[in-house]
Amino acid sequence: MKVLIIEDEAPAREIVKTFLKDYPNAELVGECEDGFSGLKAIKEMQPDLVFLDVQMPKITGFEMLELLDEQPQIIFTTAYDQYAIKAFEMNAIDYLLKPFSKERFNQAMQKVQANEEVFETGEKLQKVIQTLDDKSEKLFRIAVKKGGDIHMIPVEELLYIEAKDDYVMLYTPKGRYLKEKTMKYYENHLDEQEFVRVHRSYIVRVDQVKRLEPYGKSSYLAILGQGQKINVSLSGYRKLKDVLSF
Amino acid sequence: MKHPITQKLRFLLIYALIWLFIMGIHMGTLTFMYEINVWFAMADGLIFNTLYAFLGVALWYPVFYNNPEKQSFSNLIINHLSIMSLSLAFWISLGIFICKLIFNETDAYLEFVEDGISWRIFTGVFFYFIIVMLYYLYIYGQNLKEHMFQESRLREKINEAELQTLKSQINPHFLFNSLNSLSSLTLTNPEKAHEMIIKLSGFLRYSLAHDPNKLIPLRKEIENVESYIAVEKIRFGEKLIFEKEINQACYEQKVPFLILQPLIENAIKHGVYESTEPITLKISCKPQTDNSIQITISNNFDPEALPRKGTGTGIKNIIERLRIIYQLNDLFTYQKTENSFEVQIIIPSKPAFNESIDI
Repeated sequence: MKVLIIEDEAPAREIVKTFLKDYPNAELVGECEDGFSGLKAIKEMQPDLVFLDVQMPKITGFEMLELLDEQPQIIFTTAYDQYAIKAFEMNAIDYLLKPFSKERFNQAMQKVQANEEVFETGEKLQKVIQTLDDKSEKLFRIAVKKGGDIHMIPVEELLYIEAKDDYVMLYTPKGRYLKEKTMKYYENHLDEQEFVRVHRSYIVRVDQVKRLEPYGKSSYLAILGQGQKINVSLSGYRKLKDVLSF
Repeated sequence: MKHPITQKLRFLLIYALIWLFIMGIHMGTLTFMYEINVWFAMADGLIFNTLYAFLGVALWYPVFYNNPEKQSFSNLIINHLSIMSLSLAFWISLGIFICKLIFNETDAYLEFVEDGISWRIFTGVFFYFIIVMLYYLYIYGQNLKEHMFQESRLREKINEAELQTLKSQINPHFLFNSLNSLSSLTLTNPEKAHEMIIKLSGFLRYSLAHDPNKLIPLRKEIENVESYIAVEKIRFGEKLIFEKEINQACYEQKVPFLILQPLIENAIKHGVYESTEPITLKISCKPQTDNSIQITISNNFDPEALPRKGTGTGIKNIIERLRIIYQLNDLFTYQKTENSFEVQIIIPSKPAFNESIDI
């Protein structure tokens, strides 16, 4: 079993390595100090198991996972316990809260060996998560992939979002990016004073709306700063009215 | 400040009642002691007292604009003497004018009016004195109330700042990540673990042991920063470079407790945590010509790392604390460039209040 450690603190990598010595079939294929080199290492080495820190420079463990086409088995290691729910949202095998004991580490490794079982609980958890839908944490950047390159889009640059079947298209002045997420997700994780879901298929940055024109019977057309036109439903129009108080 | 009489209808009614009472005495005195015709006495009381009642309301303005704290006593007296002469002259002449309109030249009453100017001046001065005194008393009371309100607000703010300091003292993320490093070192490098425990304990003890309101020599603050950096260095190794350039003269200068810690933490959070390259954190201190000291904390950061928005409470808290303790604005400044961040704090030689008032 090929194992990769992605963690920016040296002593934290050491403890995982020390505990791994008891597993002769686990072969450490690499150590990475940040998410970008982690991404590269996963693609090149195809590890079976990744120990992944959440808080890392430039790109978090979560953002990194969003960019992977094929996800290896993940054990999150983090000192931030508010990420637990999100870790299961990401189908992680386990979530080790730093500092963790050897027993706890062994438990996680056992879960790796009996992977399927955990996925079941993972799915159950996902249902719970979907009903809870943690709205507390707002996004400040979005990691996207385009032509093999990775871009980190600051939320300030986001103009509007359009629904595209199972994906969403993110529009910025620099270009558009496809992302595998739901409209609901962005509706919940963007500041509702800055972004409004004006239509089933559109979320728009409020200060981009230059003009609203009536369009058809009970809908509108929003003209954005750079001339783009997007549909606004009646309920979307009401939400805009609330935020802009006109 | 609002006019004490006209601000509420109730006060205006009370004021009118007082003048009605004075009017009654006035009429009674004229009728019974000077044996003047009842109608004349009533007219006299009504005209002159009503005029003075209006004058009394207007007298608020000269009182309000003659603040004894802002001008010399002699100036104040001169101002009031001139205002008093003018208003009495106006009051008496207008009163006599009205009397002449109402009564015939032949009436004995008019004679009485013209002869009685001296006692009218006397009562006029008396009323002026009383009214002005009451107005000043009112202003004094209001100022006292305002002052007490300000003080209680200041105290509230101090408490708030205290609470914020206490809250920000130990960052749980720092603590748990450090404990994780420790747990690792105990197995891999017990000697280093030992060293880290000592540094971490020093840092925790400093945060817990001191009264957040006290001022403390810069030396102690620097020592605490060094313990903190030592712990972070074990976590981040070569990624964190720390430089220090403190002028000897600064070490004993007293500074607010834990004023540096949030800034150092910020520098590490935005610099080291978000960078893949080594980050240099530098703290320096120079004495200024006016016996204050200037502390500079600077760090470079990775320009590619998208800034994680902080809540800004750390910085706001520092600005607020400096403002409360030294009663000066602009002690805190910062500059941000493409890849560096620099904060400057000026610490005056003495706080605005004695330490004994709990600041």
